[in-house]
Amino acid sequence: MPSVSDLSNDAGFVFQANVEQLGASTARGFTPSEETAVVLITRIVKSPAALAGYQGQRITVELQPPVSLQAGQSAVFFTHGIHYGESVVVRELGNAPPEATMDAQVSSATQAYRDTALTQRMAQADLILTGVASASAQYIETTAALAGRRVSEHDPQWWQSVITIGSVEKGSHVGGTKSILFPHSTDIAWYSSPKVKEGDRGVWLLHLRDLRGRATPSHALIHPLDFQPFDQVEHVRSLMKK
Amino acid sequence: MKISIVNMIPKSLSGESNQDSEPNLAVNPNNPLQIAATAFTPNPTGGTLAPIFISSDGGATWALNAIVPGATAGFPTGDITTKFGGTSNVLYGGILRADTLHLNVLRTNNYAGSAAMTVLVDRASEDQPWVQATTATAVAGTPDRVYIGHNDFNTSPNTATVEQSLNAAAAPAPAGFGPITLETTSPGGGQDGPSIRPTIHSSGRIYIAWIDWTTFTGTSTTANIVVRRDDNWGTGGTPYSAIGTGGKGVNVASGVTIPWQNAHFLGQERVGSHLSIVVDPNNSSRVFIAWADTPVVSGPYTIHVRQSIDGGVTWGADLRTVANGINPALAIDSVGNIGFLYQTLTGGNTWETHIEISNNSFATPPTPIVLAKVPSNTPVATFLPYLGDYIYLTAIGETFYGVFSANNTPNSANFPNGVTYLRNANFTTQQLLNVDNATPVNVSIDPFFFSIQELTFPPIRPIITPPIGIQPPIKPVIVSPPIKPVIIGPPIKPVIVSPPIRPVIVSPPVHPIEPPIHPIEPPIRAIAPIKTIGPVQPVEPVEPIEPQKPK
Repeated sequence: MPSVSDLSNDAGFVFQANVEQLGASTARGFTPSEETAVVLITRIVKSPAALAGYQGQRITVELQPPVSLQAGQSAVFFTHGIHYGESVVVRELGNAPPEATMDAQVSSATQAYRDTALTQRMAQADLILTGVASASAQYIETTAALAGRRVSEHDPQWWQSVITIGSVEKGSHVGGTKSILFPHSTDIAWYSSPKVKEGDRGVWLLHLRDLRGRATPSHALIHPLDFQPFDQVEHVRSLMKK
Repeated sequence: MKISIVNMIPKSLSGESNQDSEPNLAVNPNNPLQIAATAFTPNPTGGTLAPIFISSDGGATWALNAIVPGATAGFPTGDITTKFGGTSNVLYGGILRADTLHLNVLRTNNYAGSAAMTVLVDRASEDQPWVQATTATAVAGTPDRVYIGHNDFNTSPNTATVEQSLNAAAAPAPAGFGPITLETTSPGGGQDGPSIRPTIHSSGRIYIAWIDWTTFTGTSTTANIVVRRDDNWGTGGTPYSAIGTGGKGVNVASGVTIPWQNAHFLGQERVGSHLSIVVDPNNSSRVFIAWADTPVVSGPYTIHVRQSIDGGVTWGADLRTVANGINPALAIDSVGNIGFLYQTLTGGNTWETHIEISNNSFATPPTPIVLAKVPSNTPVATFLPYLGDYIYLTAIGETFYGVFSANNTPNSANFPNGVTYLRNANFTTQQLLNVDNATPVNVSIDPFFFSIQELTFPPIRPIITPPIGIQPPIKPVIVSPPIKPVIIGPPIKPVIVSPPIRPVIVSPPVHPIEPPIHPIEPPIRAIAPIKTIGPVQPVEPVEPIEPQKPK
């Protein structure tokens, strides 16, 4: 049985609910089975914005077999949404008895998950610096690079900025400044990547490959976690020590 | 003429405010009540499966069904298009996966089920897969034949490619899929544009159009609009070589200038590769094409529509032009009416979505039907594309079906031909409402489905035009006895609430609670015939199921 921590990380929608009816469905178009149950959400523990208003609503849970819950029971459900029509159908990843510490456990697990993701980005980074960014400008690629480049609406559109270095936290660098790249594109593939502005001060996790394994022209920010504001410096350092 | 427009966001997601742009549509020819659609819509709870929109009542109601692999947090999928086979009920997809940006060819035989789509092809360095599919009913075994245009950077500079399978429905991966490079001229711009668009005739004649970049400066391209043709399902030693010198295709237009602006260029939207092509289902030699360029230096970005009536060998002059237009989408119904869907920026601040339907190949300009006219500057774009790099139009029988994205403010004035909202919305206060029908929700971009039927034209007249250049005599288009209309009537939803869902007001209402929800000005029209299809699933309590032994 996965732990609450594991379930919290995997589940996008965590809620406490009363099981009202087994073998039923609230969703027209989603066929009920012996593994579906209609539940009444009594409390939301973790949810995306679109489902934040579901306290007091009835939804359908596709339970993991073998089904052990009975009508009338209450449980905390760790779920993913699979069908959204007139009503919502979620797939159970697991459930746990309601307890007073559940919210704290989920919150702690969520924070730990964010730290894990940040730790992974730090491990993958080729260079980690602290410092302040200069004004940014379009990165002009070399003629050779342009000649071989494929043009797509999903291109990152590299821009560059210069970091005045405070410290080198990982890797090595000579000199007091470092030119870095970031995806200036707001295409759906890149819009959430960091966009550098003059004066941004913090921790810079720099990579020589993007998330899909493709080489970048130079050290670059890729993932939203690759920039951490300066008030997170000590937290970053503590994660690096672990 | 009956027009139905439906905001596709389901009631259960009344609280969402995503930018659901770049819609595409698949109507099952074997059962037009079954419809799938796609957009840049995430699964609200995340996970590795992105959703498609599904309808089983001809588009009257919609749900999200998470079956597309490759999703990541915050990025459901890259480019995605889907189509049903002709009679197989199989849904095919072409995507750029979110996690890898690889091209995936996908398949499912149950678009409304919960199983993830099967991956048939996985390949890196690709762009913009565009799926078309049919069933070759005159071929032994009635196989599904699927043609996916895509821009294959693995074959640069000749990137225009079609991924095709002659029997795609059941075989294990790759199910017969393989790439055929279409481009042969080594474009001077280093590649072709992202849009590679096939269209299939039931005879096995296939046209494919793309934009050949003869030069590329980084901000614009000089291009040829190219069409190639195959007369036997893309088979043989030299497929797609039926027209043009050396079989290398025909330029519909040459040396056009197309801005490549991957930034806000027109009403918060980007431009650079808009293309559509369609063949008449009754006449494999009659083809329409639409693309956008800037015909005049510093002039407006303009859509052009042209026709060929000799199998793509020659093309006439512009039949229609639309300034400040994007996302052209063409379709032809079973009696030869041509539909032309597009979006145009008017007054510098309004996106209008129009459809024009002509029964005489635009010999007389039809009056555009305005499906939506919405502010172009709100909401502020979260990402590009704002509305989409494409929208879609198709026809089954004499009904046109389409999909577009637009600002979702519940304002009747924005929808002159009416609209139905499934999500909670107050058209009096023009406020979107959350699932509790009280908490306000911010305006965003939603996908809208529409259908148009019971067209009121007279039957199409034979098309006779003066010969263009040297060509065989043009035969008039003989219209066979009208095909019996297939009137698709989405049933009126039975309203069954048992027990009623009681909304919980989680915050003090901003507005007094008004009678919900849907607008009735203009009234929501039932589309005849009004009949239910099959038994209606009850939501009343059912008999408990006897406990089963654990599996």
